[in-house]
Parts: sequence; C-alpha cells; structure tokens
Amino acid sequence: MNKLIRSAVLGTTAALALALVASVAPGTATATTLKEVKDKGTLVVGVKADYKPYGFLDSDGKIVGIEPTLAADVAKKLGVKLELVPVVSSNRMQFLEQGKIDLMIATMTDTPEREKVVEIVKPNYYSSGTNVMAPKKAKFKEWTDLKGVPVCGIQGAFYNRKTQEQFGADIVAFKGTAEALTALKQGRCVAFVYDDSFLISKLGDPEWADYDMPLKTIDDAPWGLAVAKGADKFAAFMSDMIKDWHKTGRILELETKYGVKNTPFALEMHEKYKGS
Amino acid sequence: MSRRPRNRPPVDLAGTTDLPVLLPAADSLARRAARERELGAALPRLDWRHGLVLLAVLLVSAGVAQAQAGAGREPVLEVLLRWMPVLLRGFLFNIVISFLAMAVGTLIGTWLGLMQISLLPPVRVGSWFVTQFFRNAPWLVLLFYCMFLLPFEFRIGGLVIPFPDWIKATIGLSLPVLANVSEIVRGAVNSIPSGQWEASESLAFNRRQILWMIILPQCVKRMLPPWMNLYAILTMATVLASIVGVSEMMTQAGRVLAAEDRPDLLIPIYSFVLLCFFVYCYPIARWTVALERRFQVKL
Amino acid sequence: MAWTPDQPLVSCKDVHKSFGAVEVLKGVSLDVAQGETICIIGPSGSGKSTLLRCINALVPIDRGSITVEGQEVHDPKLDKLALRRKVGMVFQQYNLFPHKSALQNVMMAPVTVLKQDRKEVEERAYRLLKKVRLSGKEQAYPGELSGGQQQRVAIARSLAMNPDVMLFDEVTAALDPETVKEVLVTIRELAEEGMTCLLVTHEMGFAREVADQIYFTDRGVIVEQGSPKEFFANAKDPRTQEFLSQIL
Repeated sequence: MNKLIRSAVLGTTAALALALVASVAPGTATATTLKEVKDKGTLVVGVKADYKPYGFLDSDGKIVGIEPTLAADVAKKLGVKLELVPVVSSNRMQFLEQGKIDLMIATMTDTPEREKVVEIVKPNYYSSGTNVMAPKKAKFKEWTDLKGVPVCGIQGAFYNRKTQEQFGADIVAFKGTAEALTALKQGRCVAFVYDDSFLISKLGDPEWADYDMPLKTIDDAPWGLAVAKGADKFAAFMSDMIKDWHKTGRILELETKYGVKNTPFALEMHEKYKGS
Repeated sequence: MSRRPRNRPPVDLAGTTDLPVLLPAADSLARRAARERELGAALPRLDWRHGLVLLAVLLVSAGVAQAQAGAGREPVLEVLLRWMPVLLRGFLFNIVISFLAMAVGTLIGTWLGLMQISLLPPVRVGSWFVTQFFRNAPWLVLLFYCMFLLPFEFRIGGLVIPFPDWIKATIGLSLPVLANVSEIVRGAVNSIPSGQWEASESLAFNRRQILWMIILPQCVKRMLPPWMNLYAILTMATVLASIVGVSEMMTQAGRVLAAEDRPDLLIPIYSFVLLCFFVYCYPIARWTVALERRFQVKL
Repeated sequence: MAWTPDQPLVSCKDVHKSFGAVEVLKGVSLDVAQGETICIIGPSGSGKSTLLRCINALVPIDRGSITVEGQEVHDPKLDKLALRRKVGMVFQQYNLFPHKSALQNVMMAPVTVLKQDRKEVEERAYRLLKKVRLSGKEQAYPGELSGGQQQRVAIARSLAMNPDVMLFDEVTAALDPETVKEVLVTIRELAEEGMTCLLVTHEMGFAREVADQIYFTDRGVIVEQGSPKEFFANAKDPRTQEFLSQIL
C-alpha cells in the first residue's frame, strides 16, 4: 500500500521535475555559426511548403520552388548537405532563435520589428507588393473602396492587418490560396488580398477572365532571409550570396522557371549589381 | 464524527464526474430505444454504409470538380492518385502520433487514476487537480503549450537528444489523454461493488493486493470501451497537430492544395482525408459498441 | 496478557458506533466462547451487521472495546491483517471474485496472503469445496453458479484461511428459498465440528436449532439474550415478544 503511493508520488515528481528542467533549459539558443554548419556538414533551412511557387510540395513529397532552390545554392556553395524544414509564419522566427534551423528563406516580409528578433540579411533578396483580385463588376478604384467589404486573405499574412485597419475591410482569413480562391468564387468575399505577383499569374488563367486587379499595388515590401542574431559571419556570407544572386540574375531566372512574371524589384536589383 | 476506516476505498470524492464506464452505456441505449419509440422510426446508427456515402461524396465531388475544371486539365482522380503517397504518409504520421500519445497517456493516466483513489489526502487532491486541469483544458491549448514550451532538443552532458515537433505534439496530445484515462480508471474502480473490497479485506489482503489482484482485473473490461472511444477521439484530434506545423495528413492536404493551386480540388482532397479517418476509426467504433453490448449482458 | 481458551474468544464491551448523526451501536456487550455458536437476531437496522464488521475491523468503533483472543481489535498498533487471518467472514451478497474460478477464489488468499505452498493449498481447496458439496464445480466461475452455490464457495473461501472464528452476515437473506437449506446445512456442520460461529440471521428455526446463545438486538442495544429454549419459549422483553410474534 505504502509502496504503491510512494512509487506513484515518485513517478509524478520525476515527471514534474522533467517538465521543469525542460522549461528552464530550452535547448541551446545560440546562433549557429558558419563554422558549426560546416562542421556538422548539413545546412538546415526553414522554407515554406504551402506557398507556390516560392516553396511547395511536389508529388514525391519533396519541397521545391524558388526559395528551396536558393537554399540549395547556399548549401552547394558551403559544400554541405541541405536539409529543408517546412515552416509557417507563426513559427519561422522561433525556429531560428532556437537554432532548430540555421537559415530562414520563407517569404518573410522585412520589418523593423522582425529585425530586432532575427538577423535579416541585407540586401533584400526579393520583394512583392500587395494588391487585390476582384470581379470586374465590383468596380473598385481606390483601396478605401474596400471599407466594410468582406475581403479574403491568408492566415498570418502581414498585409491583412493594414487592409483591415487602414482601409476598413473585413478580412476573412483562410488556410491557403485554394481555400481563399474558392471563397472568392463562391462570393463569400468580394476581393482577395495577396501578393501581386501571384495574382498576376492567376489572372492569366481563363478561369478568372471575369476578375481583375483593379487597385494600385501598395506596400512594395522587401522580403528578408534571416539567420539568428549574432551569427555575423554567416550573415556576411549570406549577404555576398544575395549580391551574387542579383548580379548573375539567378532570381530572374528562377522566376521565369517557376512561371512568375519578372518582378520590378528583381529587375532593378539585377541592374544595380550586374556591373559590380 | 465518524472516522474513515483506514483500509476502505474512499467513497465520496470531490467532483464526482462519472464517466460512462459501463452502466451509462446501457442507459444511453435505453434512451435511444425510447426516442426511437417516440419517433416511430429508427435513429441513424454508425454504419459501414456511411463509409460508402463518404466514398460517393468523394467520387461525385471529383466528378463535379472535373466538370468545373473543364477539359485540358489533369483529371481530379489522377491528381488525387498522384498525391496519394504524400497524403497517406501524412496519415501514417497521424496514426503514429495517436499510438504514442495513447500509450503515454494510458501509462501515466493509470497511475494518476490510482492516485485519485489513494488514502493519502494530498496525493488524492493533487492527482484530482491534475486530472481536472488537463481534462477541462482545450486540447489545442495544451498542444500549443507543449509546442512552445518544450525545447527542440535536450542536452544531457554531451549527448544531444533531438525533440522534433511531432514528438512535442505527441506529448501535448497525451496530456488530455492521461487525464481522461485517469478518470476512466477512477470511475471503473469506483464502479466495482464495495462488497469486493470488504470481502478481500476480510480475507486479509492488503490494499495493494486488493487493487492489483481483485479490483483492477475486474476494471479492465469496464474500461475497455471508454478507452477505445478515447482512442478514436484522439486519432481524430491528431489533425490539430497541423496547426502547429507537424507534417501530418491535414498539413499535407493544405500543401497539396497550395501546390496544385486548383480550387476545384478542395472538396475532393478533404473528402479523401475524411474517408481515411473514417476507414480507420469506424471499425474501432464498431468494436467498442460490440464490446459494450457483450459486457452489458454478462454482468 | 496471554489469552487462554477458557476466556471468551470474542469479547465486545460497551461498543458504540455512529455513522454521522445516526448512532447504530449504543453500548453493545457480548461474549463468544470458543466452539460456541451465537446467533444475533433482530429487526433490520438494529446494528447487527455493523457489529460483525467491527469485530474484524472493517468498521472502526467510536467507544468501548472489542477483543479477539485477548487482543484489542481497535488498538491502532494492531496488525489488522493478522486479525483478519483469525476471523473469517461470509457476506449476504457472497462477494466472490467474479474473474476467478471457484477454486481460485478459495486458493487466492492462502497463497498470496499466507504465502502457503500452492500445491498444498490446492489440495485443501479441493477438500473444502468437497466439504461444501461443490465437487466438480472447481473450475466454474461465480457467474455460472447459483446463489446457494456461490455462498458455499464463499464459505469455503473463508475456511481456507483456517480462521478461529467465522462471522456470517445474513448469509441466506439473498438466496432463493430452495437454496437456503443447502447453505444452512453447511453452517450447521461447521458448528457441529466445533467452529466458533457468530451469525446474524433471520432464520429463526435455524437459530433455534444450532445456537448456543441467542441475542436479540433492537436499535443499537442488546435487548435480551438466552439459550434458544428460554428465548423462544418465554421472552421477557415486550420488544422481543412483538418481534417474535411477527416472525413466527
């Protein structure tokens, strides 16, 4: 009887102690240095797996797209193996902080708040603007026309808030583009706010002939790839890497390969660095 | 003032939440029969035919999607077939998570349940609190909690033990499971007639012997149906792991949709997910019902 | 203070017991000598079953004293398990272990509690089951036995511990009339063999036949006691007279 209780108490104590240890010793929150990556022989990169064409699955279950290809370039240059970890907007910075990934190339918009948390490497490797896709008959002219109108968005997208707060739209957020586009078709929202490059490619499809992108692209926001805070050498290495991508036109080449019209930002950066 | 006899099972516990150990099953069946009499018709029961309905939905939705998509596009069923390995690998993940969470939850939950009937008030109250806490917390919140609280790796000396997301999700899901198992165990032990305790005490068995040799063996039968029920619920809850980024079936379905970028695939793909879960959980549900019926008659 | 067989085997003195506000035993005193058979009769709720449960410490008492073979039952230092090895008890609801066969029911306690040799216990269990006329039913599970058969297994189970005294708590109350007799026969044989027995019963005829002493309890006190002959022939207390007139 007493033994029973004693072992039960012991078990619980042990479990609680474990939980406590776990909560006070959260792994190793140190930045991965370039040397460490080389030593372990593997570069772990966090990429999106649900954001075509920047990072998505192929039917073998492999993650492919523009950003995974860029990640492969980095690994090749370092002479190490590449490991891709799928991330989502809500965990990508935390993974980097924890050291779970060494590098993050995951469609992240560069903002001052984020720069405080992770080391966003300059220059920016990509950029996109925000626009909406809406039925032609809606006849939107200004962003303010969206006031009080249901607008579909993607969960966790950074421009949702602006569309809602600044222009007064009612954001209806969905898990992915397929869900959002379905909602748009069903009339559950009258516009879909998203990256302009994606919307342009969508509008080329005859299925969406009755829709257009009526507003002026706003927030041409740069994307930032990031390493952990304090990984200065790694950041410097990545900075050179980005410059090289712009110089050689690698980004433009990948855009074309994955069916995206060359974006003004990529063209401009190529112009800027090609002479260097 | 009557003192509680030292070697008797505690009868009145705070917050008696009676789980459907056995009799409530009879109860609900009786209620169902009464309702059916009232309505003059049979209520729908879970049936293999429901699986057929699901399959039909899948096929019809695929057909409709095809019609919408128009010619020139890859047929929906072919798309589905192409992605099947990716989706099924995701589903395997769901099953692995459900197995492990159930194993961990059962192991710890059994102890917790036994602590709930301990004679020591601190142990009893403590385990009661833990049980109630995890039983009444939303599963998703517990999942998030584990996801962001636990480290991605443990370092013990020079040894690095990685702690991937799916393991964290498993731990997160095992918390509500262990609380529910704890209640199932407590409920089952309390459902054993007190005469069993008296008889074994009068034969000079000590409390531990009574519990392990006399009471618990009788509880197993009573616990099995609610335990299996819990497993089915857990399996369906594993899709919650998609929200915290584990590559299980629901996550993979979302990624497939993103990769295909065809809104017409939405319904067929989610129907397929539904079908997989049905095919897996349905036999468990049937078996549970069968067990409930059998034990009901026998006792 | 060593106990000798000429002293009462079980001795209750001024036993008080309350459940909450209800006082069930209000000063009960009673002695059982070795080899004696005592029957306690009385209306329901008069505290008879509680008294039995106090004797083997299933229920603690509030005041008074109970000794078994000279040892105070409610001494906190007493080894309850040792006490219960000396005191066997049979219940109204049989309380056999439903997941064990008749033989296993009988064998379990001697093997696990007394750590006796399994082979030896098994032989004894067969013998005891034969004694209660259940040869051939060794492998049957309680669910497959009639009430009377189950009760006889329960008696054999208790006897397997070689107790010094047996407590019977209304053991025939839950039985069909036709099976009552087979259980009573078993108990009578035990009593005749010299087993010390303390019975709570409603079977007046049986009490008259086997008891050495009869106690009549009502509302927590012993109203009257005596040998069967004088008890049934000329009860003095009006409560006893009324009870007997209703029963007989």
